[in-house]
Amino acid sequence: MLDFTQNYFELFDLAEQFEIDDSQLSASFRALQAKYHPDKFINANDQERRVALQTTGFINEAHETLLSSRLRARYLLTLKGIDFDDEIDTTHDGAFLMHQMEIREALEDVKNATDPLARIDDIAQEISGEADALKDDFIEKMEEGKLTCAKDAVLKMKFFERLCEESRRITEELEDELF
Amino acid sequence: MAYSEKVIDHYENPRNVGAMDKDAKTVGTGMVGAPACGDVMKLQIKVGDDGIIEDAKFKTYGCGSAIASSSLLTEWVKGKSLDEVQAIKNTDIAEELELPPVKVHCSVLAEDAIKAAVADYQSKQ
Repeated sequence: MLDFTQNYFELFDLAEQFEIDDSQLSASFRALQAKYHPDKFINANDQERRVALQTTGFINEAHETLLSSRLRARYLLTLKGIDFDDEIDTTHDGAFLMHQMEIREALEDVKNATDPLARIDDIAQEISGEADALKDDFIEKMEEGKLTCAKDAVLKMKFFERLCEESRRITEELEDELF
Repeated sequence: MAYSEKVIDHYENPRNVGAMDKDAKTVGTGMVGAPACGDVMKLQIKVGDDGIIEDAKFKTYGCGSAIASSSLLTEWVKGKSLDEVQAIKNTDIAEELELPPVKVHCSVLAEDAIKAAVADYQSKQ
């Protein structure tokens, strides 16, 4: 039976750090999936089948968490005892939010550009550059042991996730219109 | 998830969308973001000599509940004193809009935004 008390990094045999080897994550994931696949428990009793389901659930959640850089960063902090409360955490960094507003407005304005596709490409590049800088910031703050600042970086990552989604959506819309 | 009729009404006909001069002495600007969903909200108030809020504007990039929460709040704060608006609780907004539990953080965002706007106005005086 799988040990549910181990953390997600231990489960996939990865070092407990932000930068992980993606190919090792997917290799470990596939191996665990194969080993604990629910189909293997078809003839088992109810109790064993329940455990098998819980096991796949645990493995899937662990995989999703480590696959996303934001969720991985967040998980690393929770392992260090930092709490996240989605109901009450708000971001008050004025300059950051003002910049978010500006990017949102720029995205809204893409369709009015002379070359919308070129414009959205530019914005998407800016977004991914800033998202990368945020990851570096997180790594740095973790190394320095500044966990509250590291949490701040994780919270900001969500805003960039949204911007990425939005810019992808606009790109797809533009491409649909063109082709 | 189904939105209440009140949310849909504010979402389809948002009140007081717009911007005011954030550098004006009579204007207070509150910016907040929700890290749970990446929503961004800007709420501005214009305060008269008598300390009463004359006008309010908002701009929100977010879900229907976030837009409705800020739209409703701009309606509520007009004609009120700064003390009165600071007494507005997120639960008042959530109740009025019948927000489901997963969307309560949108009303938290609106409460934080008005508090930030008042603080910004006061810091200018």
